[in-house]
Amino acid sequence: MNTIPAFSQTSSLIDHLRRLVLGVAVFFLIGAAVIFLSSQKFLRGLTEVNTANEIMEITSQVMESLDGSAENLEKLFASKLVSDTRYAYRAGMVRAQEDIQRALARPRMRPEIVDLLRAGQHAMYQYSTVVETVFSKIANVRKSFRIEEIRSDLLVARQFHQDAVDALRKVQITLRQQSDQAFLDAYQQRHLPLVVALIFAVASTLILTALGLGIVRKFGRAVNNLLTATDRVAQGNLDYRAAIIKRDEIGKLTYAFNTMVDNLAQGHDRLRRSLNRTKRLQATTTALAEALRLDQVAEIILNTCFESVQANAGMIFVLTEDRLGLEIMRAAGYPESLVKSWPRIGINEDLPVPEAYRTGRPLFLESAAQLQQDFPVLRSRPTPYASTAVIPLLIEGKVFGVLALSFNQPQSFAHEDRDFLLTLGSQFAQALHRAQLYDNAQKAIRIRDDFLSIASHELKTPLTPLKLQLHGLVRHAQKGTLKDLTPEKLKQLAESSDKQIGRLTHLIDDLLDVSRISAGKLSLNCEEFNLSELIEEVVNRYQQQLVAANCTVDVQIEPGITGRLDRLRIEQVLVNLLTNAAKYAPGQAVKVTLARDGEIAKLQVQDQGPGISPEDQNRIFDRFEQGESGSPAGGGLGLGLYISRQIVQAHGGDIRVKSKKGHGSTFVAELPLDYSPTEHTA
Amino acid sequence: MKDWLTHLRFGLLLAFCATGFPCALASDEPSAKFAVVVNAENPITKIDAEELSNFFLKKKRAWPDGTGIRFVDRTDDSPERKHFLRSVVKKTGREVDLFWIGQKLYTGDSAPIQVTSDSLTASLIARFRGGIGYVSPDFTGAPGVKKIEVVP
Repeated sequence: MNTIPAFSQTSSLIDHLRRLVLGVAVFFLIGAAVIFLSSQKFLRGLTEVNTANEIMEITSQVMESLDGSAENLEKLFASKLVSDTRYAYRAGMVRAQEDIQRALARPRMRPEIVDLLRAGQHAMYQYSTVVETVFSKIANVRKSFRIEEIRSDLLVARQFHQDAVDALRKVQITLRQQSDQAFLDAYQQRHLPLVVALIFAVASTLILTALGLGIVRKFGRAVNNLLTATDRVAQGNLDYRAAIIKRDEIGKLTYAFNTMVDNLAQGHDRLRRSLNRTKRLQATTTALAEALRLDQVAEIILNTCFESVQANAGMIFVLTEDRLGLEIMRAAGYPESLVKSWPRIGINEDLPVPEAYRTGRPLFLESAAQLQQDFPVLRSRPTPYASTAVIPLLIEGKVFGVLALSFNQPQSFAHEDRDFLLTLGSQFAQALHRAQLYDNAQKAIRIRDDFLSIASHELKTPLTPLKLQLHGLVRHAQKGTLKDLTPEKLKQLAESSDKQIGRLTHLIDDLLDVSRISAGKLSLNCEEFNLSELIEEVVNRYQQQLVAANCTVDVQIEPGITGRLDRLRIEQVLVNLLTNAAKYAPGQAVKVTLARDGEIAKLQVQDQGPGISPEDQNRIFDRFEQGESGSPAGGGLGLGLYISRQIVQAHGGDIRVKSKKGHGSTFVAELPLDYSPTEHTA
Repeated sequence: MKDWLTHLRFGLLLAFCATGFPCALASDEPSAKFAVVVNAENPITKIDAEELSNFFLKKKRAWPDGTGIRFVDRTDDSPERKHFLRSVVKKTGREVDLFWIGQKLYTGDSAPIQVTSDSLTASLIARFRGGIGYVSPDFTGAPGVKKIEVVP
């Protein structure tokens, strides 16, 4: 059984689409980031320009404030309103300080700008300190006194003022340079975001197109692979299987397709085999219908088995006549030694053939090991065959034979194989049964013809002398010489005629008995009587015929044996046995014995004749059968033993023969003494 | 004729050497018409003219010990300034003004502070440790400043 390969639990198509979408998203994000970064530089440049402009504006205001303060300071020597000057100066300085503080508070300023601003701020501080000193001196000291010192202080203040202004101017120059550079850079890079976006768009389009084409190509290859397989299978190539390229959903589809083709091929193969077998069955049926004889049927059976199921050897067993064993009716393909080693198999033996016979079920032994395991007896007799099938042959539910088949190659005996073999077995059984019936019919016809010939001869035998005697009398009457016949002669003629008529009557009685038996109308008139006396009386009465046959009679009768029997029929049985003894063993001693064994009386008639072969010992009790190829020594219809068996069996007993070729025969009739037949049908 | 012209040229050369050249040499002496003063705490005793010019033009901004240089200039009408510019800076007043206009535009630096007298020069230098300036040759000195020699 094929194992299912492991397939991906997720859809490959969905996976690819997911990757594609993810790729698009990543590309989009990267592109957006690149465009953002590229534009950020541009924006940063613009921001720097803006910041520089703002700081420049602030520094300009500071410088204006400083200049205003300086002008106010210069007024010290021209104006007498020191307090007004001082107030105006301070207002300008405060404004300047606030402005420079505001400039320093600007974010993201370059360090050199900050340093310059701080230098300017420091200079302003020093300037303010000195100026305040000057104002203090002016306020507290007379002007004429220490004027040079105040002038010196003002110079110092001017120096600091200049420092501050220089620092602020440097700030402005630096900012202007930076602003120009930032603007130049931004201007030069104004197309950068657009270029980046274009490059990214082209790159992402190419990459995504390549990815999409790759996905389409991959799926196209898998689909084309499946389409090719579909075309091949559609064209009838059931051996073609599609390769599983990838373990995705198309791979799963391909696997399902291959499995479907497997099933289709198996179904096609089963159908082909079924059709082939149907044809074989039809041919076998036709052949069996045309075969009439058992040997023909058996040959057709074995040939069919060899051709249809590739058996290498086969045997047909049928039940033996004693129904205790199975014997080979026909064998083919087996070594002769093997066939000879199984001439007969007891039905109770622990072997496959008797097993199938007993159970009525077929045996399919796939291997020699299984055969030896199921039937340990065969371990000592290893079989050269790999597999064995044993099919019981049944008619109306009863097994009458067994078909055994052996195979050189191991067989799995699939369900359809078993069905086919059982169907063949049923056909074979019917054909064999029909052939057996045909054989029996042929045999019955032959026996009937033989009987008619014998009966004609036997009926004619007493009529001929009777006719001659009557013709003699007619001639005497015509010549008028009847009076010349002496009374002794007339008596002799009458007795002879009576004898022939009695013989004729006996033959006709036998025929009537057979007719009654066949019609089931053999009736018994049982009555209680002394069997010992009857046997002795009959033997004495038949003494003359035995003497005529030169037979001596030895009678050993146990006296006083009584029973409820049909007197005339028992007498008929004994006469038949004595007649046979006189007929087949003339000149030999005949021994008649009657003994009691419990409730059974045993009547034996023993002769010293040629004896009966084993194969004839059952046959002689059948209708129209006679010993020694139907050539009775003393005539007769061959009905005596048949009628005797029917009579004995009608009394609930049985009759059999014990004989050995060349050593005489002993017929034994066992008669129940108190048998009460309700109704007997022969 | 040729000889006459040759002799005339030689004579003029001699006359120039005898009268003009010594005067020219005397006018190019850096400290002849002014004196250079520094803060009294400044350890230097002399300075060469080129260094002094660099200080004036703010091409050098600090003393060797790191103290910021504060040059104190004189007003344009000062004869010492003329001498100083001609002998040390080797520029005319007009050239210096243009120089500082350019500096103000391109570097932000402005010209050194100008004062009207030696006393103010001295008082200002005395207030700054890195102060330096020039005064008239006859400046007698003031607290906090000292004269130094200018080396040509």
